[in-house]
Amino acid sequence: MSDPLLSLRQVTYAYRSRRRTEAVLHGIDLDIEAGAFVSLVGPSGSGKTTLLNLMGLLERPTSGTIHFEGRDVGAMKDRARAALAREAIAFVFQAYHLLGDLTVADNVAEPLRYQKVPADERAARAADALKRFGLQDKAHRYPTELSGGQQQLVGVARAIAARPRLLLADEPTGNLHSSQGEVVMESLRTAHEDDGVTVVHVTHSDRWVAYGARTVELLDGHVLRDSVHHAS
Amino acid sequence: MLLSDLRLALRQFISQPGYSALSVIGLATGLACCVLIALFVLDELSFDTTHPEGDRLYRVEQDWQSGPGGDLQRVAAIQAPTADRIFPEVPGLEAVVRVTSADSPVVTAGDLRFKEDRFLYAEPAFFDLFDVDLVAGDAAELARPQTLVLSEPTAAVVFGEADPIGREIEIRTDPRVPAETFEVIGVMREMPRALHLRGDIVASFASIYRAEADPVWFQTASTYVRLGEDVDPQTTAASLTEAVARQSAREEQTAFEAETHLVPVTDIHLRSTAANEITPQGDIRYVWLFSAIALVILLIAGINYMNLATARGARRAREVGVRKAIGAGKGQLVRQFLSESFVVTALSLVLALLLVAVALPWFGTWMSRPMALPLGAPGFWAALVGVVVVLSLGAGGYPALVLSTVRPVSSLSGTARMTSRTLVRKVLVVGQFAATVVLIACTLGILRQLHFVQNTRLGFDPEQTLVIEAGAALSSSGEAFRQAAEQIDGVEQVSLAFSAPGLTSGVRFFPASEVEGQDGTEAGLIIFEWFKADAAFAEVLNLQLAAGRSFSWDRPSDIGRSVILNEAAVRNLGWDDPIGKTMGTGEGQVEVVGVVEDFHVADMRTEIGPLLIEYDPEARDYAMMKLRSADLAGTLAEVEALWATVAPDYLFDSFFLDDHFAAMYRAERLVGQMFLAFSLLAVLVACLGLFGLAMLAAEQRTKEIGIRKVLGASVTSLVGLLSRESAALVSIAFLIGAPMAYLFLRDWLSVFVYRAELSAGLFLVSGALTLLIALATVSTHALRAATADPIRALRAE
Repeated sequence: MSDPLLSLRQVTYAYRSRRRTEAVLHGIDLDIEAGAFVSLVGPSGSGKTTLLNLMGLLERPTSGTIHFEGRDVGAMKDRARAALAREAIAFVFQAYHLLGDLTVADNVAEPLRYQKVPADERAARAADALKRFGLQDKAHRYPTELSGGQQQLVGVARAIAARPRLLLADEPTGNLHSSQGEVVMESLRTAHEDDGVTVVHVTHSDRWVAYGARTVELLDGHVLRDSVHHAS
Repeated sequence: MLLSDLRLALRQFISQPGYSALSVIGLATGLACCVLIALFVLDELSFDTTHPEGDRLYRVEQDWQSGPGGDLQRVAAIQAPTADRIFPEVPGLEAVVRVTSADSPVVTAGDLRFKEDRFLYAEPAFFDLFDVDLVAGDAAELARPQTLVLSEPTAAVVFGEADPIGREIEIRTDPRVPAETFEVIGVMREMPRALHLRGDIVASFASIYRAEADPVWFQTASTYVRLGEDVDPQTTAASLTEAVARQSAREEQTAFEAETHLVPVTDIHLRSTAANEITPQGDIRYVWLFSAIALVILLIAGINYMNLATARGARRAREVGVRKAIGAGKGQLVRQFLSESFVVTALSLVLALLLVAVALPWFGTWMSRPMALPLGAPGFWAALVGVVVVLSLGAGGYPALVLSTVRPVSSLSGTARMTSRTLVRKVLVVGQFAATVVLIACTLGILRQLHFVQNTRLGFDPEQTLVIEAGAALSSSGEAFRQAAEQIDGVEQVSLAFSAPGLTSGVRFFPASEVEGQDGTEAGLIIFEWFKADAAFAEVLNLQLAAGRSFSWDRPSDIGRSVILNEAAVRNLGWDDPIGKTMGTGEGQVEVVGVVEDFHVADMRTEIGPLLIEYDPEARDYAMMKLRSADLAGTLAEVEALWATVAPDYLFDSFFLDDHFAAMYRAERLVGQMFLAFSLLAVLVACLGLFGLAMLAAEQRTKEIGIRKVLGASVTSLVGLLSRESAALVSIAFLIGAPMAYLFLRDWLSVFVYRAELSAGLFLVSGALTLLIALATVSTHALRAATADPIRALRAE
């Protein structure tokens, strides 16, 4: 059996302030197989977003190890970790986090600029990503001119255009009306199915949990349940 | 990548017009001030840098003792025979030239007559040693007496297009002696402006000096030497000192024994401490001072930009988090922010150059020199590129580093803490306003002193007092002129005298043993500043009599016998009852008939010393007239017309005494004006920064203000809340800036014997002004934020 895409072993994470240390995650053991679509659920404060940030290499664990494609990312220097994250991982945020000064097309192309993709190719890949989600006519608009759902689709397009192997979505439908949410979740499914991207998304909604074939439930920083089911 | 960084930076610049405008206007103003001051400073530093082999060109100076037991004083003009008699004994002197000047002689050529302010006497080697080119004639001919070289513009004025070589012109260097004829033997290019001595006419030194005619070495001249290659100036100066001492020992009546120095010509304009300069020179202290002002303004502008950029960090932290989350590396972010900084700096520079181009003509007039941007000089452009790079890195580097190190997780969740950055920002604001306090306090201090020197009672009335330089013009017609002038409607009274306040006066001394009331056995001299004048002198100047009487036309016996002293002289002599006291013996004995209150005969840097006015109606070198205020121009025209009839051979050369005294403070006035102008600009720049910070602070506290308003806070309390921090920062800035300003002003004022005392009030006013300006700036935003709809504020948040 091949290595999982992402493997966490005895991962703990604690926020340290001057006065106290607050543990958020306790001894997490978790493997994410390549090509999986995982739903991460749990009540507020259970550690979902922190776990997602650790998976996305935005944070280092307080203890434990994280392997990405078999490589121990804890042993990597910051620059190498950043390069790995840039090349292999993409985020979709609840609050979209599009760059207001950039057009929709430029927003989608921005990660490619950091990947040093040539300008022509950047433009082509951004156009292609937007077209996939029916946003080609919005390419030259600015984010504030779009609806929330459209903005989140741009967020997904931005993530997809970077051709990541792991796509992490932190409550991507959290700010959206349910009908818009469905469009966004469908876009994630499309990315997963058409491009083979591994998706881990955080959600509070049972409706969106069903998009994943696997559900990991967190409670107070522990994995309470890890179940596999048939995606709807 | 670089292009896309710049594209992004430009987009960022355009998307934040308010912030961008504040940054650019602030930086551009600072840069424009710096460029203007730099042009002035570079011009000052460029003096005497173009002479051939200029690095080996020195002026010979000596330390002379001012009287027995007096202080040593450095003189720029040494005894002229030194070059003939002593220099040959000293090795290493490759070339020598002696130069001196005449005080605005009158030049006559045919019907043309004018005063030439730039008139030199020099030896032929002048054209070899200095950066002055002959365009016609042979310099060697300047060895002959009564020859001269004209500058091209002067030749054009005097002879038009005709060839001036071989033509003659008349020059009267001393109004007391007849004009002399000179032959034009050459034409030179107009001398470069940046020379410490300049002439439009260079006459032969031999016209005024012949070694054999000066057995007691009376004549002095500025003497320049070019040393041989690899000759050490220190050793040569020591050899000269020894040679002078040998000559002094050989013939006592010739050389003064004095330490001799060789001063590089490049140091003369700014660093000379010598007396007898041919023309007034600059002062390196002002170069340093203005450079410091430029640096302070640039620092304020740079801090502004840095502060605004980091203050925006809170707003941009989320953007940084997103960029990091989508793959941006730290280096890429640093480059992006530096690109933004570069765009702001480059645009600021462009605007600054436009501002400079607009201000230059005015600035040049102000600085009394032609000024232009050296657009053709590669060094200028290199310097500008350097400034852009340094400012981009300096002002943009810190915000770039701060922002690029923001943790993406905390910035995305909105919990990024900028506490340490806030502290840095506060420190920078304090630094900025401390500099502002210094500039404002120094401006007030300097303006106060200028007001003091111009408004302190001089002890006489210089208003509407016309002074005519008569020279020998009135030697036979003085009384007729006086009577005729007093018939003119606008003339109240006329006095003829040997000198006038503010001009060179004489010195008269008596052996202490010959002064009544002094210890008869005491050695030494009692020295007075000496005026010789007619009976109207005291009245025309409105001198206040403290004791005794003034001179009277009706007492011819007073002539040469009666004197009036000032109070300083009486104090100096220790006399309780000076009237009737005598000084001197025999024919030279004088009697004190009156005492006048002290009055200034020099500027406020000089203490009022003992002064003696001797009654002498034959002293007619100057005519002083008290004019009535109505129709001054008409009166002046009538006086000039009268002069033309009484002294047709002499130029009418006049000035008003109050203007003459005001002109004594030209350098101080310039410093005051520069401080005022650049302080205002510095305040403007600092306020732009504070305005931006207040705008951002109000924005960031929208939610807090909304909550406070909902809880019942009044507008006043909210404005107070938002302004409190600025007030505290300015107060700290005051505590730092005020002592610095005090130290500067104390030093600056030390040259004045009479000065406005430095009071705490001056510094408090500076602090209050700074605080007022800062609060006015901040309260605009505070008021807007405090009066905004709280519900909308909360909803927006």
